[in-house]
Amino acid sequence: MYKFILMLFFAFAIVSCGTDTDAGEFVVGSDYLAVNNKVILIDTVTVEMSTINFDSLITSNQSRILVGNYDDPLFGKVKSNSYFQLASDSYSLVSGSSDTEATNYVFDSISMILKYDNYYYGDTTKVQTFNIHRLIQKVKPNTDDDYFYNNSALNYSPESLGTISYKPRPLEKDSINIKMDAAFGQLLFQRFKQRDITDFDSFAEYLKGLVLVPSTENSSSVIGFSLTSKVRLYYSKYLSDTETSYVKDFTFLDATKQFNSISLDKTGTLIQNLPASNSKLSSLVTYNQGYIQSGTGVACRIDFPNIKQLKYISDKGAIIDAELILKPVNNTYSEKFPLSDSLRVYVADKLNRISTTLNTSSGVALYAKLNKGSDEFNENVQYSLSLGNFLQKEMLKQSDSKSSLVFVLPSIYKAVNRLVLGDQKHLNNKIQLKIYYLSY
Amino acid sequence: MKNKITFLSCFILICVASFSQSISSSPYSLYGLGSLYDADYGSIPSIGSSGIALPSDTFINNLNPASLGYLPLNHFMFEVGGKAIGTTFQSSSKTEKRNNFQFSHIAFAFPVTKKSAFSLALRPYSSASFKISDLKLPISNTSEYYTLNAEGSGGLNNFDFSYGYRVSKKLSMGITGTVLFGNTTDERSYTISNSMTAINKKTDYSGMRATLGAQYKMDSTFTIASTFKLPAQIKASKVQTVENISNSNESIIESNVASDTDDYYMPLEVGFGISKHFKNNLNMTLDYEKSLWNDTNQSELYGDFINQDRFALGFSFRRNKNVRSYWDSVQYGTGLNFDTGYLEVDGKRVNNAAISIGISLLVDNTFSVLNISYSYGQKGKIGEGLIKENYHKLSLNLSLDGIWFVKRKIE
Repeated sequence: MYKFILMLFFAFAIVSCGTDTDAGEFVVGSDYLAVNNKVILIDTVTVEMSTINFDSLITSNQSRILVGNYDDPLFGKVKSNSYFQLASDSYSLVSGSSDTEATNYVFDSISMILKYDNYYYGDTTKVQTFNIHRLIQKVKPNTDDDYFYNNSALNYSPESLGTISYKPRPLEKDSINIKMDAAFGQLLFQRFKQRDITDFDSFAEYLKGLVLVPSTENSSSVIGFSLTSKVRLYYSKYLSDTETSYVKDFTFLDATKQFNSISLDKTGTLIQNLPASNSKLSSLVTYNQGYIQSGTGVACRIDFPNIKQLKYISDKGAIIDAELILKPVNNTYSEKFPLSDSLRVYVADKLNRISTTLNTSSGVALYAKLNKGSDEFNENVQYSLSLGNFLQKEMLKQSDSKSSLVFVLPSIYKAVNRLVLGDQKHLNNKIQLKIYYLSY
Repeated sequence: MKNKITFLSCFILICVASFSQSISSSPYSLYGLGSLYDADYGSIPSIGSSGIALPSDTFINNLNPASLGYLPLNHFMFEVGGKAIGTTFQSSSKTEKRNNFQFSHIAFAFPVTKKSAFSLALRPYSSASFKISDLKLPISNTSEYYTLNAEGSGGLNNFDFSYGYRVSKKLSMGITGTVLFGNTTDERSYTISNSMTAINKKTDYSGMRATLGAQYKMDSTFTIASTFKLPAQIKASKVQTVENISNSNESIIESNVASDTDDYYMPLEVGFGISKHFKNNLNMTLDYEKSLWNDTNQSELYGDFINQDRFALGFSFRRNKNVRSYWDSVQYGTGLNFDTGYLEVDGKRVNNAAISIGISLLVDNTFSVLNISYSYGQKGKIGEGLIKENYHKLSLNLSLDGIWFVKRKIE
């Protein structure tokens, strides 16, 4: 009998090691589950919007020749001049040739060949005109640093060395060709021929630089050209009865010596009273709209004045996720004025001093991303930004200081794209903030 | 004798080994300290868990410490038990079957004097094992949802010291001191919007509770009895870690932070029982117990608790006092048990009803008995947010009785 019992209990003990798995599909009392850990969605937190204006943006070394002007109905008159210094990889007419042959060289012509880099903004179906002028000062920064800014300018001679009126075809064609003044070309050629120019220094001393200046007559688009553009000098050699053609290219060897001077004349627009760079223009006085424009330093600032109050929701709680939805104002974008795929976000103080980009906790920059799925009424055209980490830190911050977020377009230094966003009181395109809060 | 000791130590080993394995998973384990184990000794499971008025003369009666006053002198009693439970969980939309084997209890009792005895018992008290997978829950006041995954484990153990004393021929009284200890872990993960938050919590519990009991023999066949389980406070403290991952964040919000949490309160429980012999071979037991959970003002952390009523009725039968064959010594039992439950889920009570049958087989010629009982029960119901549990339970209790402290006359 003992043996029987013993075996029975052993068997019992062995099988007790395994139990069937619980698939977890049976739950009673889902209300009770929220007692310990409440999940709250807060979408009523005040979000303040304003427009600010950076005093300067670095536009040198951006590898884009940005030239053109257009009249923006919302922002005003936008204009970009492009300054640059040229250089060549050799400063003799033909390498390895003797002086005696130089007399056989004859100047033909000179042209500027500008290669499209596919960037354009504005109406490219209209004629655009610009002129080439010669700089009368060297391409050298005025400031202590080595940069040129969107508000930098250099003196140039008023006479035009070349002009073009064209309908930009930035996607269909790959370049435009501008015939330059023959007298200018001849003089430059003579300098080479007489060996007055033998190296970069003597060349840069003679031709300090050029600037492309859009004409105010027609103002329709701003076009980007790549730094593979060049000025090409055509010349020939006559020896006996044969004629040989040559070219000499002057190129953009040093990208730091090329910059775009981008200006905005806001007169008559809603943002014409945009204050100095350490101040802001509330969206309440600009029809509940915030403004962003690349190149000119117009940026949209967002503040969360009451975020610290969220810490009183519960003893222990955290913002575990938050989404800011920014909506472009209807009819402020079109095929001509396309929306950028994303917005860059910076963290700034109340004087608009930027401390860092908005990053994830592991240091990766966060962008507000465009939801492209558009419907009939463009209700879903919106930028969405995950900012739970930022708001959690703002909520817990001990000091009184509050951080703001500053939104700009990713192409801020090398384009003139712009964007108009609606604030919380905007009729159709309200900014939304959803905060997911969990008590623990 | 030597045999017996190896046999005993084997048991203890098995029990300790299986103790750590005892897992019972129920959706109701989410509440309170988890689902309570029912661990009744001897033949009590077969008679509907009734027996407040039964004496501890052939097995240790765990329902009333006063019963220890009837423990025969020089007898050492040992009791161990286990259960096999097959449960079918039913909701309005699905059914799932789970089997479970668990250690039930281990207990010793030995007489101190002719009229008094002492017992020690260890048993699991509750199991906080539950699992919730991908439960979609609404965020209040919005049209959005979040997803919860949760898993609970652990539970409390119960360690009893009991002492019973026969005051007079008719009256016996007893007291039990209970130590409750253990911990539960609760691991939850919330998927909210584009974030995932994990909250892992380990809660330690410890507390003491006293039970008073009395049994009074009205006459040689009729006994009345009562027990008072006193209210108790089970101290709780937790250690919690909260982690969050979202598109913008990957951080530990708190890491192993220890804090006090709401204590658990056990109610005053009053039980009455009677035991009546008929014709020397049929015995009837009837118990009623009331648990005053309303007065505990339990923290909402543990759920909604309400007063509980428990009814238990049992009959046991033994063919004859004069044993002629082995089967004459076999005791048969059957019983009913109804329990209104102490939980209210979404305003609904979780009732429990069970019927049971069992036999007690004498082992050799000692007082040692193997009790095998089967019960079928239902807990909860289908619909109204509740789950119905249909369970088949097989209990195996071995009550060993050794005559100790007596010098053997013949070795």
